[in-house]
Amino acid sequence: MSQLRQLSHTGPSVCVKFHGKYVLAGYGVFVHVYNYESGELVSISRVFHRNKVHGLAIREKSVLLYGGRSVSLLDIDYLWGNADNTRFEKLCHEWVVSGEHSMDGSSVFLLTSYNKVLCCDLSFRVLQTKAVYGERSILYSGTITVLNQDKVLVNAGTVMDGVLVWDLKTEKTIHHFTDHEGSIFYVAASIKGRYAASCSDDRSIKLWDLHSGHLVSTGWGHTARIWNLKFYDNDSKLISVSEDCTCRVWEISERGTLIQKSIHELHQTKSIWGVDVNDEKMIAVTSGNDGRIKITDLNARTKSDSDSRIFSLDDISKHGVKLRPNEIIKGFYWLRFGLLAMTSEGQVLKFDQKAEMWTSVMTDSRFTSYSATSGVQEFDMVIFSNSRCELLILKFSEDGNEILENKQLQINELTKSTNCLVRGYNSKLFLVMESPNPKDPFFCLRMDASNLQHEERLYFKKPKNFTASSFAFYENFAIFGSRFSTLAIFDLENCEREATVLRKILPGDTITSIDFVEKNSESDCLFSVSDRDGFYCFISINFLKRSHKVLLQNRIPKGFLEGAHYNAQGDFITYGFKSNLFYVFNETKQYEVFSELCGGAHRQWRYLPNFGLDEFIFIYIKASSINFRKIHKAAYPEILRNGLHGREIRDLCVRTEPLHLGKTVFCSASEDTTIKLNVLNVKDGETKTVWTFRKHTSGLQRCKFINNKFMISSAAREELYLWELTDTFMSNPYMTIICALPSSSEIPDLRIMDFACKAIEGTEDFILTTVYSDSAIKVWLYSSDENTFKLLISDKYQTCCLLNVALVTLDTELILVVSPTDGHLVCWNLTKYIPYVIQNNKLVKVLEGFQPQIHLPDISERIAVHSAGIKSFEFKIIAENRFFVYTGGDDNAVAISEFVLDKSHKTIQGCVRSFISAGAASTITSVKLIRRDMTLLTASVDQVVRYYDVSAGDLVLKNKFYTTNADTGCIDTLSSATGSIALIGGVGFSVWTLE
Amino acid sequence: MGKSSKDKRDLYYRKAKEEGYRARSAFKLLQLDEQFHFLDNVTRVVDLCAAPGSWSQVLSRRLFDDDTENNSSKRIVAVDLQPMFPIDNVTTIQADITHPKTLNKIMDLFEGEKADFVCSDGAPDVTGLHDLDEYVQQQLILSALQLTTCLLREGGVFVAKIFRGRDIDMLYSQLSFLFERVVCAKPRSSRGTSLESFIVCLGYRPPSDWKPRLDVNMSVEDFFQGCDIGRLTIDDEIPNYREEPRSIAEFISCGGLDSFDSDATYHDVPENTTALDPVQPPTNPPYKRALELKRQGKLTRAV
Ligand SMILES: C[S@@+](CC[C@H](N)C(=O)[O-])C[C@H]1O[C@@H](n2cnc3c(N)ncnc32)[C@H](O)[C@@H]1O
Repeated sequence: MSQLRQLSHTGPSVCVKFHGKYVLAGYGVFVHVYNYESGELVSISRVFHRNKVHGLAIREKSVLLYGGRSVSLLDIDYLWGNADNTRFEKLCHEWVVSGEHSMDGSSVFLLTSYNKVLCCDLSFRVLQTKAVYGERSILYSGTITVLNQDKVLVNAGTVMDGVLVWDLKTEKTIHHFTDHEGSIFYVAASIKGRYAASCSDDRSIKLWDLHSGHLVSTGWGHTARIWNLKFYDNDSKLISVSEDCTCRVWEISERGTLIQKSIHELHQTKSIWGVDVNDEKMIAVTSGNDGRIKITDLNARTKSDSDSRIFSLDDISKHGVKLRPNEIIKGFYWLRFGLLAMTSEGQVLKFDQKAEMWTSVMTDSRFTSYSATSGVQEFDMVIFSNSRCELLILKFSEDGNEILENKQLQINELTKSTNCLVRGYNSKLFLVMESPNPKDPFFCLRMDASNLQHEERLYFKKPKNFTASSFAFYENFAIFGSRFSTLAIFDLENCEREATVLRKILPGDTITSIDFVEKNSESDCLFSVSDRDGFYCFISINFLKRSHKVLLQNRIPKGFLEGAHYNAQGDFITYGFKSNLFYVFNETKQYEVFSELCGGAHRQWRYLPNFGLDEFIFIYIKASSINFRKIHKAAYPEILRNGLHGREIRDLCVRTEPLHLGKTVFCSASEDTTIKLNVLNVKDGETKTVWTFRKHTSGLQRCKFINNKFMISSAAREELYLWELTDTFMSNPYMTIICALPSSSEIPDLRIMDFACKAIEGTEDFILTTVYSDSAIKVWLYSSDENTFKLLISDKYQTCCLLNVALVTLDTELILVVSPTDGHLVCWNLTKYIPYVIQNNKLVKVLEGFQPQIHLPDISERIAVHSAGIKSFEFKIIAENRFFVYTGGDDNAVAISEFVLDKSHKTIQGCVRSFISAGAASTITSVKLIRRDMTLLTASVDQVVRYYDVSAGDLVLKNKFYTTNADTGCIDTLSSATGSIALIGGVGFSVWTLE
Repeated sequence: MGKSSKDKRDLYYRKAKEEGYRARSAFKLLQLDEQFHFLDNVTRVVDLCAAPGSWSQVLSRRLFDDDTENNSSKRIVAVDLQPMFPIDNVTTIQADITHPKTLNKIMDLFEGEKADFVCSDGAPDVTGLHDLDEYVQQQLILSALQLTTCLLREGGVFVAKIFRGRDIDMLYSQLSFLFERVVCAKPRSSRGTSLESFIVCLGYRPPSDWKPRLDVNMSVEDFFQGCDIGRLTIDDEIPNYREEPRSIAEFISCGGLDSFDSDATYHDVPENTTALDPVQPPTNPPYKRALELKRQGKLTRAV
């Protein structure tokens, strides 16, 4: 008999705890153990049958676990040694809000949701039940503070009645804090017992003095509910995590004032649930609804004070540098030994980072008032230029103590220059000067970087409307990025040759970066390009064929994008400004790597590598002081597990063809409005997200691969996009929208509930049908040549919402099947309504003399199957005139219906063949045929996956399995060497194998 | 998207305003009654979690407007955490239904008489932790059930909002100990995309060997200890995990197919009708202050 086995699970994690060099995380019904130094997942142990782990307490070798009504007490080694520890699970009659060991370890305390504490021995015999008389309010939260063997405090966070602190022994209320509004979501006592902190629906944190019973201060800052709090660093700090996906650090002053010190954006929408801090290493671990377990350096990657420095002009002059009264810094560049800066008086300053000394290198009066500064780190070189086309190039020794080359130049070819771009490439230095006169060519100076000799002067004719903002080299080509999101490619070997101009490759304006990624076997070169307005793309350029294609286009969530590149781990990193912050963001893994409150993009700044793998420096001027901020490589792996979506996954689709050995791609579409493109390891179910697309503006409805190349996604507001997947590069698969379905009104407010496609043989064209929330049904023809959707049919069913649609071919006929919210299955024969001839179930060729008709024919058949909406259906063709429909409904039922086309092809007759009314305890959200259509899998909101044998044409329940994904909503499957792989989504995601 | 766009998407919202109901929820009760006729001949009812009060309005119209005889023996008590604007012939109490004291207050108003019908349309604020939200919702239903066992006459009807989540089958099983028939009903006015349904419990059969006893010191769980409805009891030891009894209730979709579909988008709303004002009084969310601070730009990342 076949077995379903879970290969992997990603989903909400509610609690995390440091233990030595490990992190223990409650992960659904499991406890994960990670070594946070190596990042390795050491073990996964199942501790509960159905309930999620909400908290854990450790005392020496004893671990107390609780979640829902479940509790368990086990030896910590069991978490490493046993994959299954469910035999220790006990079930309480009330929800367990919190649990703790007693001081001497001989008993445990369990606080339940009715504000009572069960004092149990280590085999859970109830020794005593404690409560405060007359205080049976229901709790959302609570903690237990064990001060000593006799003194235990209960900090109860009620739903309606504020915070109650009571003494376990005397069962007396000590404090009743009522200053919060709304339900209390967490209460924490400080380590030394002086304070308690609480948070509530009012989104504030309140700090209470446990001696005086007074409210000491209130911390505002979070923009949504706060879920967890923890004191650390000897009670001098408090950390909070929230629904707003940030973790915030608060300093507690001597007098108990909460001061917000830092904000970290760590998880995906929405909710961070768990937090813990390792005081010694000053790192935090957080866990969220997105299934991510994240390590954050609370010292924000600064190792010492010298990693973050500010120098005012006064400070600099104290080093013996003579500065005039109004002299200011105009530009700077960072080299191995330190900084070089140009002042408004033409004075070149040097900061030696080892000696911590500022010195004056020289003064060149040509650069008074206007100058631009740039450099090339690998050549230890800085370049200064002015508007009169004068240049100063300084090449330093590695330690910065000597100037090896000093070259002054005057470019006579241009009269004026507004722009000087510098790059090093293959031991050559390239300087590009641009004049404000659009008729002037680009002037390019190339020379040997070692001695600044062998100057070559190149001119390129400038394309229309072109102002260079960035450039890159590849082999003999220079690629310039400009305003209007335009790229121009110049042949360095043949300056006369017209540039290839690629206009408007991104929706934004100024191109901020161009980076070479890789060259594939077809000699296509891949570049990543970003624009300041927040968009980036990957463009494949074939220099020989002079062809190009955009393979991916996406946008960052908010702010300005100054650059983007792959890092050493293959993660795509973006950086730029968000209001007054400079940020570095890991776009692949979706978290903020670093941010600095620098005041915004309008000031002078540079973000440069700092000589070492993943070492960077951010330099900026604020209030005429120069700020350095070193950003080190993370001391610990930043992500222990990355997770997937933080909100419900609405649909999943796997591509049938593998990506490469043992790997395949799939898309996940979520309520959070993003679509993720992920790579799945078929063997162990490991999932890695490669791209998170933010094109849809409303919650996703559906996504499906229609073949190996195209995917379609649909959402509310009539959004439907056709995506093309490219898998010919090593770095990653890429995907981009190539066409959007036209909407029916200017302010589209209809939801596209579902769609179906039928390919036209021998072409990339297809028939598409879409169904809408206003009962509309549309049929379209996609033409790949024109890249358009042409409307063939537009009609309506009734007035109710339509949930599903399919196109079924029966030999020479095309049948449209729709399921509305009324629980019926409705068929139309579309054969005469599409401009194609159908043979052997295929659309083969254009139908001569086709007469287009905008309305649907009369309904061929309509049968009642379910007493509420059909949530999902599947089809199987039984014979050339017969098909089955497998349905799952909101009425908890599963059914098989049969449709037969009569000989004359005029009528269709349908009937229900098999019906199980109690197919689940709750809505059946997905049905899927697997194993050559012999087996039907169903998923339902009761979190049970059921498995029916349908080989005989009726439903025979064979088995059922519990899944940890709440709101279980979608399944997609893939056949594997040993059987099938099922991907199951909901709030969480799991991969199962069926052998 | 303004108000009129909401009208367009939601015909029930519009209909509620036209018929003078305070919320679209009114149609849920009306459609349930259309199916089960549980409001025929009832005279004493309790509406729990009643604000803003559209169910109470339905009840008031049914009990008093449709039949003006024997008004003195009729009684409607509505309870909610939120204050409610007065409704004719309805006694409102602002209180927490999970608190035993609240139940005493309601019972006092009934002066020893039994009720024919108890309903609860209550839903707690959701946190996003599905298991916790489901638990709190079930505790709310249990609180309503607690009152029901104290107040409902034999053969009476209990209706409560449920979310058909993971453990709903446990609740079905427990309710079937106390009622002749337990049905899960989904009115067409409740969105298909939401897990909301209503548990309709017909024919109350009070257990013979158990007397409900309200005690301010007891939790809902304590209250039901000893009542054999299949809930877990603990004596002196927390027991090992075991599968608890579950059963699937009969499902009925009500409201008829000719009624409006709450998932559909309707077009036949005149474009330029002035949108009617919302019928509910504005609420006062606990995070009002936080919103104010945000509006003033005081919750930025500038720290
Ligand atoms: C959906 S509304 C009820 C709508 C109502 N049936 C009507 O037709 O106007 C849910 C109500 O449950 C109330 N509620 C939630 N928890 C409660 C509790 N513990 N006690 C009393 N009311 C509660 C809320 O205040 C809210 O007004």
